[in-house]
Amino acid sequence: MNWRRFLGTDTLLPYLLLLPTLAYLLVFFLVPLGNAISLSFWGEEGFTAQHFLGMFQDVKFGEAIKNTFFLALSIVPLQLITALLLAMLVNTRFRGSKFFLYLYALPLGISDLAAGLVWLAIFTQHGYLNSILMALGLIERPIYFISYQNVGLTFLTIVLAEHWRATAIVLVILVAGLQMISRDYLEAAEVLGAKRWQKLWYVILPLLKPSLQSALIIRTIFALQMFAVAIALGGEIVPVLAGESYYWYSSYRNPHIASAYAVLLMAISLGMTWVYLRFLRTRPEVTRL
Amino acid sequence: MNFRVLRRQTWLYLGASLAAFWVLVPIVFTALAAFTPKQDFYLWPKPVVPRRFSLDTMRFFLNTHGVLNSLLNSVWVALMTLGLTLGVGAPAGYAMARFLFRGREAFRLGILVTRMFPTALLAIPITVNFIRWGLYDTLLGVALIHTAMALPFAVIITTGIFLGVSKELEEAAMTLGCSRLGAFARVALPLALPGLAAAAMFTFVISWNEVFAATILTVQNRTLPAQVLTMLRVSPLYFRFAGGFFMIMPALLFMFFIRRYLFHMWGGATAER
Amino acid sequence: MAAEIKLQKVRKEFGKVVAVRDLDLVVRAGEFLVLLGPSGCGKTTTLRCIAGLERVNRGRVFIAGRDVTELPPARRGIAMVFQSYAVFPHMTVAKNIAFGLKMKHTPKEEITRRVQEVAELLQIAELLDRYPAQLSGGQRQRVAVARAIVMRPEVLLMDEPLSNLDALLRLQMRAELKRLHREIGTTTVYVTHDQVEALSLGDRIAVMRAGEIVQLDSPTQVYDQPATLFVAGFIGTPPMNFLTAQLQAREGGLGLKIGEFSLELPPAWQGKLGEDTERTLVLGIRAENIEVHAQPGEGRLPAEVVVAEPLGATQLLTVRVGDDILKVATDPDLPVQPGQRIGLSLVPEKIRLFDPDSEKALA
Repeated sequence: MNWRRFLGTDTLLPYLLLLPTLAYLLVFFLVPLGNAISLSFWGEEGFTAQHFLGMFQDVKFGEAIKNTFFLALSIVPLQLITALLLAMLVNTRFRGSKFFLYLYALPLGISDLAAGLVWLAIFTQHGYLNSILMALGLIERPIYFISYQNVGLTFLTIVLAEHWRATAIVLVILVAGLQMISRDYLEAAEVLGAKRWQKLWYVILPLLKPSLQSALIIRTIFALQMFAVAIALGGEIVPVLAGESYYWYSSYRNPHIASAYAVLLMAISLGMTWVYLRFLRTRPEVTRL
Repeated sequence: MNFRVLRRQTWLYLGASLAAFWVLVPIVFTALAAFTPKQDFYLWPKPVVPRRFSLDTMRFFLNTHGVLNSLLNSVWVALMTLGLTLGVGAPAGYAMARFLFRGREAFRLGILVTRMFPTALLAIPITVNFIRWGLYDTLLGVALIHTAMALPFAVIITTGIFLGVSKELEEAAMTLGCSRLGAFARVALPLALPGLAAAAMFTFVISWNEVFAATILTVQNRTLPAQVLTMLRVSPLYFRFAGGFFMIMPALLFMFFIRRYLFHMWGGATAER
Repeated sequence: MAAEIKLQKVRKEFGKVVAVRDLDLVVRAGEFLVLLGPSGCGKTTTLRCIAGLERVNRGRVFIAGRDVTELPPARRGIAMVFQSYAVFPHMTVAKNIAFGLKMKHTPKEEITRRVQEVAELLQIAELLDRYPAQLSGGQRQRVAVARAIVMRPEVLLMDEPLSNLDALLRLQMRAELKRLHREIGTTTVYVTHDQVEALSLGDRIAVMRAGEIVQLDSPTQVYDQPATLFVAGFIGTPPMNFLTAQLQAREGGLGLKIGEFSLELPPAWQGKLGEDTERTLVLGIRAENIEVHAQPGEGRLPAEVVVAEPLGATQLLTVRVGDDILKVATDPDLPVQPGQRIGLSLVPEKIRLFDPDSEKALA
């Protein structure tokens, strides 16, 4: 058997095609994962918890973990609801719905940093929002949306910016999911006398569950990692975990504590994914038909 | 058209327009800010539409030390990322779309899991490694780590794209005298090309937008987002707005080109293949 | 230009599933052979093994006496028509048809001439400049066939080529494929799950089940003399009727007892049913070989009408005999009501007997 023929066999070819990707993922995912863990657990005298202790003692740690969770918890559900509403709207396939869908998907291409800057132009002290409110005579002095005096408002601007930027991905996933639901089911439900909300609750949502689940997982993980929006808008007013990791590496030159933050983020991401998979279990046979 | 249908239509368009407004207004503001003369930023209240359009702000942004360079760097890094990602990932996508093999499911799960890695988790140790390997502060280094981030997406997207090209077409070509490679080149590739182009643009955008890894991996050779991020605290507001505008524009353009493939890509990601 | 195909102990497994089980098959040169069976019986896999699209796990494949087991599809001298047609969407009809010739570096003028020729043969000459997206399903199908036969292959393989057409078009294309085969005379292997197609097209039919050929015979034989209960129950609309019957030795011959009813077997059965003449058998008989009488009577098998379906030219009755359900065809004018008791007479010459354990036909 010559080698060309051997290469042509279906048994070996797929593995050969996967090989580059596997090798790449090994070098750039598995190795860094090991390194990150060892960076965060290894000190001069071998295994140590000192980096994690250092992280816990970081003055910003408590705030960062609180903010990270609260941001994710307020952004993700809001996005899910908005995206679901928009997806249902677009899925009625009215004239021009494709055009609107494309518009809604636009922020998909916008980075977190850019989104932060976009909203900075709106919320900054002499920004567009204050200018408009002023011109309308609604306020007499600019409102300080972003300031240490008003962390709550600053937090809100970050939520808005993230919502604006990253709802598109949820929307796209949900629309893709909705398109896979055959109209027959809805018509069948209608014939059987289901009202609009009943169709939504008993037919659409259950069939959409796999899409909802992947959207939820993807969005939660990325929301937990979000940092550039927070930095661009609020500087250090609203510290988040990923941001702390960044500062510890680039400002304080401490890869150990930076890694400890990263490992903590990973652990939280995995934990959240596990929770979602556990409590939103979908049976494949339900969606396959 | 009866009254109820008309009312329903009105609500539909009203809702749709409202959402469109929400998406578009911030972009419009950014564009306005980018073309507002510098001195206008000190006016209060600031006119929403500038008194005159000017390229002042943009010129200032581009002439700021390091910006033009970082812009070019961003393009280079994104192009390298694109080439690397598709070169490495597309064959895997093809294999996933065409073959049933042992370990396929495990590989698919592995790919999904990699998307859970926080950028920080990859970027910090890789930076430490790159210092050792002499890749620190190089564009190739940034492209390598961007490829790692884009690769899982590329595999998933290209799987969807190749699934969209019927296997029977390639088989037909083989029965008509093509080798396996010939069948791929003459039939599958031309048909997948628009999709692959969309995947390439998507990869480009991922790299173009990435800021965390690019920032901690570079000192001299910043990409545009890295440059803007590191200058945030020391730059005037209009510099930041212009930066935002510059980062957004190519992304919006790409989104326009790949709009038809969005669902192809994400539909493939959610349909549990 | 027609070649013989020989499969020798061909085996194909997908993981733990055996799709083709040590299959032996000879397709004669110039023959139209139909592989018929329900979905999942391995018929398509068998075809793909001949094409070289699947590598066999064991066994050998010969085309025109040449061992092609290790050869890629391109070098087997075959052409294939796919179920989805697999017409290249990015090429015009002309380019599609010319594709294979181009791969063989046929001179340009010859390509043009042969494409024109085959396009006329299939009545698609006026479509040559169109793209597949502009064609109807039936037209695409013709392109797929043209693309295959323009190669003048030694062997033509067709994988359910008509299954995506609507009923009327299917009827029309069926006749056309038959005409085509008569004109070009290529050895053809045709896969279908539609037994009407198989009966109408095949010189011979290979009925497959679970990766094996259960019967390989001419259409008439497959229809009249099914080799197993499976074949009998798969072929024919309606399929063959089955009755539980008791074999009995009598004076001057053999008889059957169905419930209380007795039936004389023709003398031809004599000595063909073995030693044990007192056992339970399965009697098989086709609907058209059962005569229906509106009243039960002497020498008639008593039955009860369950459903009567007028079908235009005939009337299809579903009747109950003991615990068995039968389908019988009658004159549409015969007045019967559900629940009515009627009498049946079976044409003795058309009776098939099966062993209930081995499910094989006797004699």
